[in-house]
Amino acid sequence: MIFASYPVYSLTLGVLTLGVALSLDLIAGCLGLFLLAQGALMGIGGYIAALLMLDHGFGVVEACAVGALASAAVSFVAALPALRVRDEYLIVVGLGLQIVASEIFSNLPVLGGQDGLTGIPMPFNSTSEWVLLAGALGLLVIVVAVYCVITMGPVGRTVAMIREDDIAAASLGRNVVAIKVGVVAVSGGLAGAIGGYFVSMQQYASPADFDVTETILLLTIVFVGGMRRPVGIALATACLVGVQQYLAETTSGPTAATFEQVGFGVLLVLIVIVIPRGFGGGLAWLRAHALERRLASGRTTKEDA
Amino acid sequence: MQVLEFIITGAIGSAPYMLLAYGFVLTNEASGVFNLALGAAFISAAFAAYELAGKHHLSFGLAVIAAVVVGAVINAAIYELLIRPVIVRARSLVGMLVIAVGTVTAISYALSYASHYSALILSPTILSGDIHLGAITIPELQLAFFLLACVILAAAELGIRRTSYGLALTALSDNDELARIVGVRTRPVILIAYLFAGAAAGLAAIFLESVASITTFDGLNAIVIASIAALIGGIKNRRYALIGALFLGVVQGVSLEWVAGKWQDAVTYAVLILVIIVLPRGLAGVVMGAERR
Repeated sequence: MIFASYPVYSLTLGVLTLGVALSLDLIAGCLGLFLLAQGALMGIGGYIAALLMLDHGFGVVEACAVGALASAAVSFVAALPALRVRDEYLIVVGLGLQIVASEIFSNLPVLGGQDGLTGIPMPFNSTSEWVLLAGALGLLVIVVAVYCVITMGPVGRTVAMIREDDIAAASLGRNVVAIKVGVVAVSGGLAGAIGGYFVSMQQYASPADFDVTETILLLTIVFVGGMRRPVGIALATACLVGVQQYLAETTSGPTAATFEQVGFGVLLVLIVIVIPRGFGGGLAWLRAHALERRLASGRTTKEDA
Repeated sequence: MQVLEFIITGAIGSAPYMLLAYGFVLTNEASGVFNLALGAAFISAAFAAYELAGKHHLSFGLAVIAAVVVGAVINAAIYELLIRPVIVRARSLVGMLVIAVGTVTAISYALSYASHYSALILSPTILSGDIHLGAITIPELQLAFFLLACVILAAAELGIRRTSYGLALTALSDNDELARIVGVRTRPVILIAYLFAGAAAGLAAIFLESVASITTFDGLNAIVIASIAALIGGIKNRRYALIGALFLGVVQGVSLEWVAGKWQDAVTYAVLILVIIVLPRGLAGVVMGAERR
């Protein structure tokens, strides 16, 4: 890695994590589908981009584009049957797909097995950490643009209708299956593109970076930030990635890494216990509580509220 | 004949997943929680048994008792301290999932440090021979574990069906609000379900570390596999969950015949996911649908 400054590295990592978290929010928050395999989709894009850059001399943009297409194709194929199930069943199917992908990353010789792939060229062959940050921001802009298209306007209204009542949406002539599968594929494609950029930035692709823990970290970010609340998700990304990077920066050695993971697990549990509705739900609760108090004290009338 | 051997040994080897899946469904019935945190009780019990019998060479029977007690206590503590405070305020599938993964991660890494990152293996000296049924060879210890699991689960099922506890559990599973209104004391009912599930997870842990090597990081993997078995049966049906676990064991056993060991988990997961997708309401849903017709 060429990052001389840890804060710039953490910021770049945070930007990429926010991008993947938003891509997960597209399916978990906007569609209400808990197909939890975003880490695996990042890995598919990442490994394909890495192989293209290592063996075929692709640049980072082309490699990420092909990685994105591959991840989108896998999401598309997985989504068609997976969308037959719901709730707990969908979560387990997603986690199962994630574990199958992790096994493939760890065991396929062409992907380097447990050691992964090393020597991947840097994005844009640049040695400037600021260029890497700019590249990550560029990807985030693309993710935000896609996020806006899917959550706003006529498409956003259709997606919201499907989330609230897909039978009603179908009865109104919306192609529910096509929209669900399409959004899942787009979300997978975005995760794949970010995975490609991530491995190029790290200069290695390792199975450990795309395992079930990564998916759960992303889900935690979306949960804590509040589903369909991009600002809350950005705040949650800053907090969680910040804490994770701080622990990594201030500790070293296997013992410290172990305690870092213990601390991270405890942090996840504490977050859910302290704010069981996430930042977004917590703010909504505070607003409702404040309104109730104002109504009770007579400072606000129901009409004003 | 070799395939038949793999099927039989696979079914017999499913005993740990039968126990885990049964406990998983029981806690789901009682509390409505998708309790993947059971993996933390499983791995804590495995560690306790390893410390006593594997590291300090105390008796295997003592290790079994320790695993059962530790599993039960940890699972009940997770419910009382982590799950119940959250479901009282805001029941959320994602919240429960994050709690489960956070708990399993924290406990797995803490125990890996305590066990000096070593594999958890027990080598019990009892029942170390094989039983030969024609050309089929079955390890005595695995057969004993399977029979013990069957006896324990049959006794538990009988206890649930014939006692007032079972009635209360059914009421809670059908409609928890109504159960409270008619006077069911829900907290002890739920706590007993968590204690039993934890104890069953403890037994499953000692079974697995006696016949194979596990690590402190296998908690989540074991409970995800057990939850898939439970879903194949039907999430709110204990008996069909056992059939799901048996099916899982057979798939694992048969996959050994055709694929290399390192791909066994991937193949098992892939097959189980396909079954869930084909039978989205589980075996119980299929049987109930057929009965209605």
